[in-house]
Amino acid sequence: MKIGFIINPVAGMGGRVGLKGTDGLADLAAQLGGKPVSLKRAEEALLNIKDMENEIVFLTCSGKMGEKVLRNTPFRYQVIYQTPEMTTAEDTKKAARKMLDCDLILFSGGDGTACDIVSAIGKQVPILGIPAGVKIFSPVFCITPRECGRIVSSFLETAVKDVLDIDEEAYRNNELSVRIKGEALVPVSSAVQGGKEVSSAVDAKRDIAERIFDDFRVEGKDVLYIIGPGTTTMEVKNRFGIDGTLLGVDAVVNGKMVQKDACERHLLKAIKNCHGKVVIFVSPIGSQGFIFGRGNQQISPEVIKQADEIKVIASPDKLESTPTLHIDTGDLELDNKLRGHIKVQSGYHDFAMMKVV
Amino acid sequence: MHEFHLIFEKSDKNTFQPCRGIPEHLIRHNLDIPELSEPEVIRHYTELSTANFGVDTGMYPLGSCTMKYNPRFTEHLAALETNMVHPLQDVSTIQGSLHIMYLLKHYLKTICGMDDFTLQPTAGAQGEFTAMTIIKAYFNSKEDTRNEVIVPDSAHGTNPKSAAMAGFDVVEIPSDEQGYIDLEMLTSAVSEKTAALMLTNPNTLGLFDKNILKIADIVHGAGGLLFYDGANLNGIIGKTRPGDMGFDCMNLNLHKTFAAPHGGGGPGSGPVGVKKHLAQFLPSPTVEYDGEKYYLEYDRPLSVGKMNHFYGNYPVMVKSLGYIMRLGSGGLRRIAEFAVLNSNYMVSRLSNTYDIKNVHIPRKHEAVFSALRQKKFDVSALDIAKRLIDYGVHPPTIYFPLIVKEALMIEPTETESKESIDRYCDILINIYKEIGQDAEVVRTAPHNAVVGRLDEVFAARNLILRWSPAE
Repeated sequence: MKIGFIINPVAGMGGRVGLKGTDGLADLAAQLGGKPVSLKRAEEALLNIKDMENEIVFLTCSGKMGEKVLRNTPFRYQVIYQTPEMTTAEDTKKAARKMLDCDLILFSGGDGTACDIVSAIGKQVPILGIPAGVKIFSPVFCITPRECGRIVSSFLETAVKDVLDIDEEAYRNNELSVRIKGEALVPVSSAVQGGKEVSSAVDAKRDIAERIFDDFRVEGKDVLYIIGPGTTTMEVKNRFGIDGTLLGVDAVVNGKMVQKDACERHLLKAIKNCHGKVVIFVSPIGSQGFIFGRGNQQISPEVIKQADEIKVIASPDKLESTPTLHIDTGDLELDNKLRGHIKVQSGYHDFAMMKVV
Repeated sequence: MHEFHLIFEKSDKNTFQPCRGIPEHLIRHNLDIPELSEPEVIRHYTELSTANFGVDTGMYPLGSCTMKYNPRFTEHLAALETNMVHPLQDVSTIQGSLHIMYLLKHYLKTICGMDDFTLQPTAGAQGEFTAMTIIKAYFNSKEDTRNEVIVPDSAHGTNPKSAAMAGFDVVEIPSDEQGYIDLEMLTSAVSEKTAALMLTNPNTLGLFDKNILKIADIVHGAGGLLFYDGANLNGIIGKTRPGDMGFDCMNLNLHKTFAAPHGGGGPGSGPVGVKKHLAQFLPSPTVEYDGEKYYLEYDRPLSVGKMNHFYGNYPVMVKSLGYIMRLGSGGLRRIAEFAVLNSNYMVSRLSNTYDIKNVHIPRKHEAVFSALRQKKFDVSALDIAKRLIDYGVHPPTIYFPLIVKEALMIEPTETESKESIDRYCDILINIYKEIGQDAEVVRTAPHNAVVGRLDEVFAARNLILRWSPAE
C-alpha cells in the first residue's frame, strides 16, 4: 500500500491565539505565540497504524512537511518533494500532485489544507485528514488522530464527501459563511462507522436521484425544481442530465436547465415565470446539518416562502453524523415555521423523520 | 490446539482410476477431487461436526433470535411415518395432515388474538413480506394509494426491507431517550400517505411499550394499519396478545417461539395472522373445515396469491403443534414468565460491569448492554464476543440494535437454568476483569477455538469464495 503523507506545518497555529484560522496569517500567528500542532498530531496518528510496517510505503515531503515525523516511526518512506524554508498552500498542492499513484493521501491540517489538496488532485486519490487545523467542518477528517490509524489499516471502500471551508475574513468578524469548495474521495471504515450499511453512501445518493427523476417523469410537468449545492444534490443534477453546478443553486423546468448557478434574483424570476409547482431540493451542508442558511443563501427566505414543497435529501451516513438538522435563514419567523420535524429522503424507498431546530 | 484439515488435504493425489471404456480424449487426468474411502469420509465429517457450536452444545443467547432448546419429542413427532405424505395427494387421503394444520392455525389465532392465519411463509422475513403484500392488496381494493410504511429505528433490519420489497416507501422514526416510540414524532410522521406502522413489542431493547394503545390510535386515526413483528413473542406469550394491542396483522417465527430448530438447523416457518378485515387477502390456498372434512380453499378472488410451493414447511408445523399441545395454556404462559425472569436476573448480575440504559425498567425477554466503558481500554464489543468463544459459550448478538453503541444484545431464553445463566454472567464479569489486567488477551481472542481471530479486513479485501489447489 502506497500512502502519500503531507503535513501543513502551520495548520492550527492561529487557533490558540484567537485568529479563527491561519490562512494567510501564519506569520502573525507565530508572532502572537502560536505553536505548530500538526506535526505532533500527525505523529500520534502514524504510531496508531498497527502491524502494517511491512505493508505500507509512504511518499512524503522533506523536513517539517513529513519526513521529520516519519523518521520517528517504524515506517519506510521516500521523499518526493523538497520543502522550502517558508511553506505556503502552493507547496501542499505541488506535493499532492506528485502523489497521484498513491492508494491514499494522509494529511495533517484543517479545512484549508483539505481544500488545497482537493483543488490539486480532485477525486483521483482518496484523502484522509488528521485533524490539526482551527476549522474542521469538512467530513474528510477522522475524529481523533488515534482513529486515523485504525481507518488506514481497515478501510475497504471510499465515498464522495463535500469539502467545506468558511470565509475566514467574515469569520473573524463573527459571521459564519460556510461554502462547499469541492468533492473528495474519503475512506469509509467499518472500524469507525460501524457496519456495512452506512458505507454505501455513493449508491444511496444515486438511489435518491433515481427516485426524484422517476417522480419527475410521473408528476413533474411544468414543476420548477430549485436544486441546492452539494454532492447529494449534484447526483440529482446529473440524473436530470443537466450541466449543473456542484457549489451553486440550479433551476430546472421540464428536465431543462432554466438558470445555472442562480442567485436570489434569478430564482425569484424563475418562480414568477413558473406555471406549475415550485419544489426546493436541499441537502444538509457538511457535518453541521444546516438545511438553509449555510452555503445556500441564494435560496433566500423570499424564495422559500414561495415554494410549494421543500424536500430534504441526504445519504444515510450523512444522517448518522447529523442527528438534528438546523436552519438559519435570517428570517426568524420563517425559521420558526420550518422548525419541528421533517421527512428526509435517504434512498429510493427510504425516508427518515428528523428534528429541525 | 487440534489441527483441522480440508478434505482435499487428507486426500492422496491422483490414485483415482477412470472407468474402463471411456475414450481417452474425454478423460481429465488432473481432477482435483478428494480421494478418500467411505470410513475416512465419515471420520472427516464427524470431526468437523465437533468443531461446531449449537444450542445443544452450550448456551446460545443470541438476542432477538430466540435460540432456545428444542425438545426432542417434537423431532420424534415430525419423523412419524404418518407424516410421510405427498403434497399432490388427494385431500381425502391427507385429512390428518390438514387437521394438524387447521389445529395449529386455531391455536395460533387464540395465542395471538388474530382472526385468521396462513402457514405458508417459510421464514420470519417472508412472513413480514407476506403481511406487507396483504396490506398493499387491502388498500388497492379500496382504491387508496397510500404508499408509506413507518418503521422505528430500533426495528429489525428486515422490516424496512420487507416493506420496500412490497413497493412501499419506508419512513424511519427515531426512538425517544428510553428506546420507546416517540409519540410526538409518530404524530408528525403519520399522514394520508401512511399505509402501516411496523412494530416489535417488546422492542429490540427488550422493553415493552406501554403506549401501545395510544400508538394504535394515532396510526388508525390516520387511516393506517399496524403490523406486529412476532420475533419477540417469547417475552409476552400467554400474557398479552398482539390482537388485543390493536395490531391488524403479524408474523410469527415458529423456529423461535415455538421451539423448532433455528438458523442452519432450520428450516423455518413464518405464519402470518390477520384480523377479519384482512382475511380475504391471505395467500391461497387456506386450510378450512366444513364440519365434516378438511379441504384446501383455492377460490379466493382477492388473495395475494401463493407465497410458497404447496403449503409451507409442514414438518415444522408438526413440531410446533406438538410443543403447543404439550405445554398447554399454562405452560405457554410460563415461557414468558421464565424468559422475563431470566433476562432480568441476568441484568441484575451484569449491570455493574456492563453499561445498560434505564436499568430500573424491567426487561422482557432480552437486554442490550453497551461495551462503551470497555472501549476506553480499546476493547470493543467484537473483542468481548470473540473472548466468550474461548470459554465455550456462544457470543450474543453484537452491534444491534444500531441505536446502542457497542451493543451486546443478550437473550438467555426460558430454557436456561439459573446455573447456566450464572456461568455466562461469571464469564462476562471475568472478561471485564481481564480487560483491566491484560486487555491484549481479549483484543486477540479467541485463543482456544478451532479457528483463531479472523482478519476480517484482509478477508474482505481479498475475497476468495472457492477452494483452489495450492500452487
